[in-house]
Amino acid sequence: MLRARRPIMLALAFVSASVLLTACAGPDLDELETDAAAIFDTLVEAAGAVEEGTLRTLETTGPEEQSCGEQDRGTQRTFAAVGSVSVGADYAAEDALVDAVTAAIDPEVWATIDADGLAGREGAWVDESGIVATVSYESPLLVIAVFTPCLEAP
Amino acid sequence: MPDHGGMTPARLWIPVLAGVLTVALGIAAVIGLEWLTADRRPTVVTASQADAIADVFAENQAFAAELRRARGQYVEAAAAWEADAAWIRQWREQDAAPQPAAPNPGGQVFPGDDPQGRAFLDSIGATEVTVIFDAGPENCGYAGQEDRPRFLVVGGCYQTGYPDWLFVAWEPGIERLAWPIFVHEAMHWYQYQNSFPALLAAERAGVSHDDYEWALETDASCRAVYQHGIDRSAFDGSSSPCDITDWHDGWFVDQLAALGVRTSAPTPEEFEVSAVVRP
Repeated sequence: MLRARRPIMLALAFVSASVLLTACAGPDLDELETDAAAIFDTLVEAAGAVEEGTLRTLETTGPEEQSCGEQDRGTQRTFAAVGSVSVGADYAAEDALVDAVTAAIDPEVWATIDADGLAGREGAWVDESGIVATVSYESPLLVIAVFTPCLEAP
Repeated sequence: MPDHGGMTPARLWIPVLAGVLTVALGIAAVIGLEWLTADRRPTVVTASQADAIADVFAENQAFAAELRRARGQYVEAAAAWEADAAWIRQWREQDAAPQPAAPNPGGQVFPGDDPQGRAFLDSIGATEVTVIFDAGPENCGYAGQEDRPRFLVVGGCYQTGYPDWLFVAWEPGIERLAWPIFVHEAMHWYQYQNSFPALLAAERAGVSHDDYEWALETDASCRAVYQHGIDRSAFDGSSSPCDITDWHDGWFVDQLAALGVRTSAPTPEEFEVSAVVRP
């Protein structure tokens, strides 16, 4: 009987190991960059749709690769957009601008994270894969930034 | 020898060990499952991310300062323009009426078929405006003239202290100029109805009444000539001749603009420090 169970035990062990390895491996930086680009484009599109009388300029940069993690052994890729408001934009218009951009964040997908250390104000969110999206407003500048997770070289 | 149901005490460790192993495996499985499904997403923006964002703000610091300065200038200009507009709204509601001080030597009616100037005033929208035939000191155009022999005096005045009144007076014998002077004063009323914001802006800009008085008087006479059929010669030799040939509607505002006076409400576009940019 013991002999008959051995192949089943081996199969179970193989499947478990595969699942474990898959979970540990995760997506690579290029895949994460593609996902980060998607949310970045969504946020930039939302900002770009705000009338010029409120958001005068909007320029994008990235993706740029940056060191991160302990002793800068990791790598993350960053997308950034900086916008500036019109001289005619009042406080209400500034608030509406930030609302318009952050409304593009799907709360079903993105969880709010602590953004206390962030320049400006507004917020930061993270998705299942660890991509972080931030929207910061420090009058008269709006900064949208999206970061891939910090991946350390194996 | 006691009966142990067929299992000797020495063999009891087998089910006990099996039970312990089962519990241990169960705990390990739960821990392992929790480890596998744990939410390892960050709960806070990392220092490197915060630094990257701070860098973007820092790189645009000079531009932001320039933009803040421009916004301040726009807000100040817009507030001043609005304050003047509010003042003008209150001014228009004034109903101050002058008291007759000295009877008009020429009488209490205009010669012609519009003895009170009513039809003319109504035709230019001055329905609330009244003419006072008075030669007293508040009729600045009449009172300011010297009393010389063989010299007939005719004069009028529009002053902002009485927004809906026109002063006119003339001496007998010079009736032909009474109507042109009246139309000239009505044109001053028109100027203040349409260009008062620019006149207040002139004051704010340090441009004095003396600086634009020539243009104000010329415009009043020329509008009378170009738009209301008054013969140009009626103003010859007066303090307000129409001695230009390029008069047009808006000419007076153009003269103020040439003096550096703001002649329209501030717009954000005037103050913007960059063009519109989109990705």
